[in-house]
Amino acid sequence: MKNKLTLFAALITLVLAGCTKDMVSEKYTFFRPIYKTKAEVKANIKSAAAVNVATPGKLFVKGNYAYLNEINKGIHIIDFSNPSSPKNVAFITIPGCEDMAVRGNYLYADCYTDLVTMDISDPLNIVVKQFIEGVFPHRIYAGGFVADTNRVITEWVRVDTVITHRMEKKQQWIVMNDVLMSFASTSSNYSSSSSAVTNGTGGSMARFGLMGERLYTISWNDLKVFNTSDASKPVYVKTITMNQGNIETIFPYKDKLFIGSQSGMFIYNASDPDNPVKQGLFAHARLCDPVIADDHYAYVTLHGGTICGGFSNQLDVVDISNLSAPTLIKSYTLTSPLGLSKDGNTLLICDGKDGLKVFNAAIASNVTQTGTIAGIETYDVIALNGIALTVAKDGLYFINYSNPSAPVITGKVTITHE
Amino acid sequence: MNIKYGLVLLLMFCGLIVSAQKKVSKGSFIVNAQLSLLNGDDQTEGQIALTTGYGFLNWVVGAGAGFDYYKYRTVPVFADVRRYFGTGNRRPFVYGNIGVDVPWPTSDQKKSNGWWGTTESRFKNGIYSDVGFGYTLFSNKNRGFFTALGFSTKMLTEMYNETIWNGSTSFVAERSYEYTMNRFLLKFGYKF
Repeated sequence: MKNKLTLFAALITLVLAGCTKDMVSEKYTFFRPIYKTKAEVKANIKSAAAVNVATPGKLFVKGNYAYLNEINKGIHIIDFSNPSSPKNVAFITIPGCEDMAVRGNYLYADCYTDLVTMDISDPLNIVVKQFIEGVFPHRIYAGGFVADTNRVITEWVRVDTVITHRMEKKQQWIVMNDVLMSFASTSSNYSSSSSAVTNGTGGSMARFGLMGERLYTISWNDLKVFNTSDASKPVYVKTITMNQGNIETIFPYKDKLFIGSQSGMFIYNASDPDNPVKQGLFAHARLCDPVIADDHYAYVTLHGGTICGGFSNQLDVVDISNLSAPTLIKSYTLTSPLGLSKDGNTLLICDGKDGLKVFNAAIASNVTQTGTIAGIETYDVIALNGIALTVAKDGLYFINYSNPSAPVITGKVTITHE
Repeated sequence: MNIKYGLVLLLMFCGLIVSAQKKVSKGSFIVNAQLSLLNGDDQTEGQIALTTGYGFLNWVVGAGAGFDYYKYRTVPVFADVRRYFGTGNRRPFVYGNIGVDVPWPTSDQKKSNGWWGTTESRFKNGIYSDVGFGYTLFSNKNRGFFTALGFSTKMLTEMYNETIWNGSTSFVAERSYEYTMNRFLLKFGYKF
């Protein structure tokens, strides 16, 4: 009898203890990567009819074609031979693609950790020419996600889920993945080449940059050199460790590489194209910093309030006449600057929700605003002979800035966000 | 915040009024002021509540409200039913409460910290319930102390916006938590 009572008491204790477990039913959404093998991915890189632009990334221009990255999915080819009526003509499926460059008739793009070269003579029938595998081993996805680098993520599937678990103390950390989101690149007006094969125009936020017969790419903390003498078969040359993380952008100008990091702008001398050497540094507070340059000045937009840190939002004009000791000429306050581009004395800056701002930069110490395209939220711009290709939240705009006091929108490719 | 305080104070005030009137014919108005110790999942907190009801024969039917500090500060508002057994001043009873648990989180309970900055949660009402048994130590039929042991469940939903990444870009989505908190209550109260 006593044993039965003890057993009963133990059972009651267990039951009562179980009754006081606090439970929580947690409902949330996440995206799960779908992997394919590299062989499958290679077999499926091809061009097809145009598709809607949904999540645009970086922009590259060559001739009358704009190459607009669809982040991690591929590249849109947009014919803007008539800027008043741009045409989205084709889409190249390249899983894991975020950066690109065009030299001659060849498109270089990252395919997650690989570099792929394609012949784009016929945009509707591109031909894959070469894969260099594993040259970008440190590819980082937003939110700290670490992917399986032996395979390629081809798709992300939305998962709405509910899980029930014991209630813990309140969750205190929320993943704000957007902080690592990259925006599209801005323009470099340098397209030099001693050979007949010409390079396209990349931008200040690009991670791929072409200079002569070399393709330079940056990763988190290194600079890679590829020899593109034979444009159809780039050859990996070397990796230069920068002893500095947070590298964001590369802007080749003449024989110099302007490399933007979250803590400053590095200047590398690439007069020996295979062996760029660090020549100078312009340090600034920890901020995101797209950079472009001309013969005398570098223009750096500092964008605060993101993962890059800092809260300043400004344009810094830096004297680079002495490349070993760049000095600040003047800072100009802006709202939320991102990409920028310069054509002659006209400087164009994407200033977030304030739109595209046009400046007269003839005098570095007195950069004055001359015009604005308001009402669009801009990320990136490439200025080419009076036409600015501007990536905004709702579309890729073609803006005529021939009259810097009265820029006008001439055409648009709509972004659907679907 | 003030509305919730006001609601509870109004109930208390009404209870005092009806108790003072004591227009007893077959039954009477009864007020219970009670303090509870809540013992749940790795946490012990307190609750104060006031119920008021109409007593008829061995039954008391009424409503109550209070402040509940278990994990999330809430204001339970509930219907209250009691059944007394036996006669005399010392009687056992059973009770049951069912109602709504209105969240009234503290500023700390509302906040979730992100990589930079914070986000503020939103809350939705949940169900509140409490069942148990007790024993009276009355000095007369309508006035005196009581103690009770009960089992209570309160529920509420917390929601906040978070930025999620779809492999290409990020957007804002809602994350929600439906909490179910179970506690044993040890009550001490005064009936008048």
